[in-house]
Amino acid sequence: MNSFAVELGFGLVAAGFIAVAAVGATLQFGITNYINFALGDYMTIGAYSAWVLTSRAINFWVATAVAVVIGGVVALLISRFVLAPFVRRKTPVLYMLIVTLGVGLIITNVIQLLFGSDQQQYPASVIDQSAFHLGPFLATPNQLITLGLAAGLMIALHFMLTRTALGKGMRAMSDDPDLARVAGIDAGRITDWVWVISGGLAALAGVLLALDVGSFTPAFGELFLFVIFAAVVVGGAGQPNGAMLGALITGVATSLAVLFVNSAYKNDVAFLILLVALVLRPQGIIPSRRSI
Amino acid sequence: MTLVYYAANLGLFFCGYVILALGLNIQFGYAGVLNFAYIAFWAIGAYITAVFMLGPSTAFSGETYILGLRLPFIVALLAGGVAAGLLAVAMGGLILRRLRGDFIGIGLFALSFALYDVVGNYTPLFNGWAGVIGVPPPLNFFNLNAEQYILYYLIPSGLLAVLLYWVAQRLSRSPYGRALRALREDETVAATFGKNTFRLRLSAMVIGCIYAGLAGGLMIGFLSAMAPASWSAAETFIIWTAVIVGGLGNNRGSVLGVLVIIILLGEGTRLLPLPLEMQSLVPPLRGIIIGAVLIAILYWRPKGLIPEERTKYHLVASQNSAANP
Amino acid sequence: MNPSGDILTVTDLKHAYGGVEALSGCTLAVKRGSITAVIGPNGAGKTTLVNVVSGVEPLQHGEVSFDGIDIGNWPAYMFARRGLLRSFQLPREFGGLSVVDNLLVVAQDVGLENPFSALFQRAAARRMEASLLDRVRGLLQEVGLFEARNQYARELSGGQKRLLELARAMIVEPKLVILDEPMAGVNPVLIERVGQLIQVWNSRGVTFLIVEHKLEVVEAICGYVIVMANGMRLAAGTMRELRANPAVVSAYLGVAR
Repeated sequence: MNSFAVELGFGLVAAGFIAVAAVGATLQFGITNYINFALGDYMTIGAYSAWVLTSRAINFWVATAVAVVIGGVVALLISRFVLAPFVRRKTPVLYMLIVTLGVGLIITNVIQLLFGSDQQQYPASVIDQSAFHLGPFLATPNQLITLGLAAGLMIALHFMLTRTALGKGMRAMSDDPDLARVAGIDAGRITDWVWVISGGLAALAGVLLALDVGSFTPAFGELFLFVIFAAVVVGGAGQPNGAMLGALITGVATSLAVLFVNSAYKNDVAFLILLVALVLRPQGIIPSRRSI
Repeated sequence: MTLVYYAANLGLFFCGYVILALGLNIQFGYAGVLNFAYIAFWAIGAYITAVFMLGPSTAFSGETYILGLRLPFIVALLAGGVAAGLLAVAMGGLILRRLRGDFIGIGLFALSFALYDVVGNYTPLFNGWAGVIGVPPPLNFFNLNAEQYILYYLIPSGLLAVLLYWVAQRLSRSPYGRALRALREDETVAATFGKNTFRLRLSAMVIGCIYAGLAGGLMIGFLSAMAPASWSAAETFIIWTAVIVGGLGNNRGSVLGVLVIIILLGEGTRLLPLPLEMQSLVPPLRGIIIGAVLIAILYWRPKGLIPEERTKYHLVASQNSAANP
Repeated sequence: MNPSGDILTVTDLKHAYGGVEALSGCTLAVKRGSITAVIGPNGAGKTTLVNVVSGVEPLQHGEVSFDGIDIGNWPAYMFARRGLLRSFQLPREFGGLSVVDNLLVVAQDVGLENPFSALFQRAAARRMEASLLDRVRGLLQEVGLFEARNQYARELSGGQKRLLELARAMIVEPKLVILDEPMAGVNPVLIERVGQLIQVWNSRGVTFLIVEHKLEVVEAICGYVIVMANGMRLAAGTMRELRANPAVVSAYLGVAR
């Protein structure tokens, strides 16, 4: 069995759920202009929500869908009630980041308060799957579903951004906020939607990540966040296509890395990728007009 | 545990965290560097100080770590500060040059997680997740017992904290401090007026991280152990909250912030009369309270409890003013 | 470094932002010791010109020469150190610093701006500040900000901030000051005051290049006017000469007057 092909396959799966979170994050950054350091914790919310529902005998994928809705709603509420007051008084970006960090801290501790800090897993019926051969690749049904979901969502998002009024408004706001405002685009509504989308996508990514890793804790999303950031920065902050590209690069690179280093360090390859991007090309592969 | 012992222990934490807070204030309060990896620099200082003081790791000790030089505390402490400074030079040199503030934040945020991963998994470095333990009590010339030692260690701790406070004051009330503040206020304009913004920012980051390293080295003296669990991302947060609550750009504010956040909130919640079953709820409760306090302060009193001080210059108007043509 | 002649020359400057061309081959010169205006309709490229010439935007194509030296690849901080200063359209004072500190920080000895000096050269810093404070006092009195000297710069009124910006430019004893719409949002009394200050400082040897929309100001204080349109220099001369120039009139002046 060709381990390169196997790891490549795993890398594509990872690229899938990284892309789900990264595209949401990059869309949100493009519109709000500040980075959400609580994104990892939105992923954790997704993972735990699906877990709570599944342990009440709800079908896992249905539970996941509900978790996505929960993620979107929580993100919207936080934007409306915690972040918006700061935005209204034109808080400098550096302080917005600290606020999002605070939000993340609260979320992770609430989850720990409710469910404890032990490692949790989805029920055996969900995660005990055998892998089968698919050409040179090895895959479990969950992994294939992950890939399928991710690909489907990317297509759906692309459609939304190019064909719907909401999507066009988002692109306008991201490219040129002043012009967008002058053109009568409702910034408040678009901001709401981008939070719903990024929160929902993060929640889904959290479930898929938990499936991939096998277990999760209140901090597990936070621990993975920098991998998402690597994908966002490499691809070009604010550019959804860039985020997909960045996710592909990051997912494949971290998976292939296990052929060379101990698998415990695979995510740290993402840190190296991020560092290289920040030093050599911070605007990313697909730059936008904002100054970096 | 007697009250004196408890108070002395608190005092040691106070000294160590004051140094930590002063360092972050120099980096962020004055120079606007978003160092979300700050606690990792504290850890590096602690680890290096530890492996300088310990003897070489052997099969018997059950721990694996680098170095093991059995050097005196003063040397080890300085080495801890230098190590943290060098890491700051490396990281800062790479990312402070042309990135805007929030991307610097991302880079440093990622650094803290990568370091956490590597230090935890690569046991030959600092004994992995289990951490380095058994650091001999520094400066224990008189062979004191545990209680006496805690009281005794207050002296070097206090001295170091006072010294570093004095240094921070000098840095602040100087042309250097003025330039840092201009950089923080408006970097583009500062650059237009000839300020080398990269060098200013890097120097502030390095100095602040040296403070963190020294705080770590000092604290391992009485903690005598250091493991990754002590410096997760949440710990960075507590120091950030202390500095912001106390007042940015203000050394007295940093001291007050440590008092409020760490002593009152940290220790105060520990003293809450909770039944035993609920004791495990205290850490996450504390985290929630600290997060909420931070957000509240940023909203209602972003300048902190003690706002930045301002030098009032004694200028007297001259009699023959050239004002009116 | 010629003592007379042009202090600033710009040759075939081209600049584009993401596909949009802001400067399309701009060539002009500013005479030493003059108060020169740059006027033109919106989108003519005036602010881009200022940004490139002052180092805020990197040079993409063309040459810029200041005081006889090619400054095409100077880093941002070199400009001020060599005597080329600019202001911004919206006043950008150092809000969290006092008025006095705003002036001290730009004029202080750069050699002392490091941690070692902060710790070990306090006396030298005191001496330097004491001698600087003499000039600071004079300048603050000249612009009328002496009473507000210990206030935070962010607490000043809009007009006061504009005056602070001018004082801050002058404290470093520049050779050329580029003002980007200095009269924008300024009340008429203050406009006159600022005009007078510019003339006084000009008489002491400082060259001014002013991007301005208010033609009455240009007429009052500027001896030489450069007209820009479509990213290029359209014409140059005194206001009277320009009024007689049909191209200029149709592009810009005719409608207003």
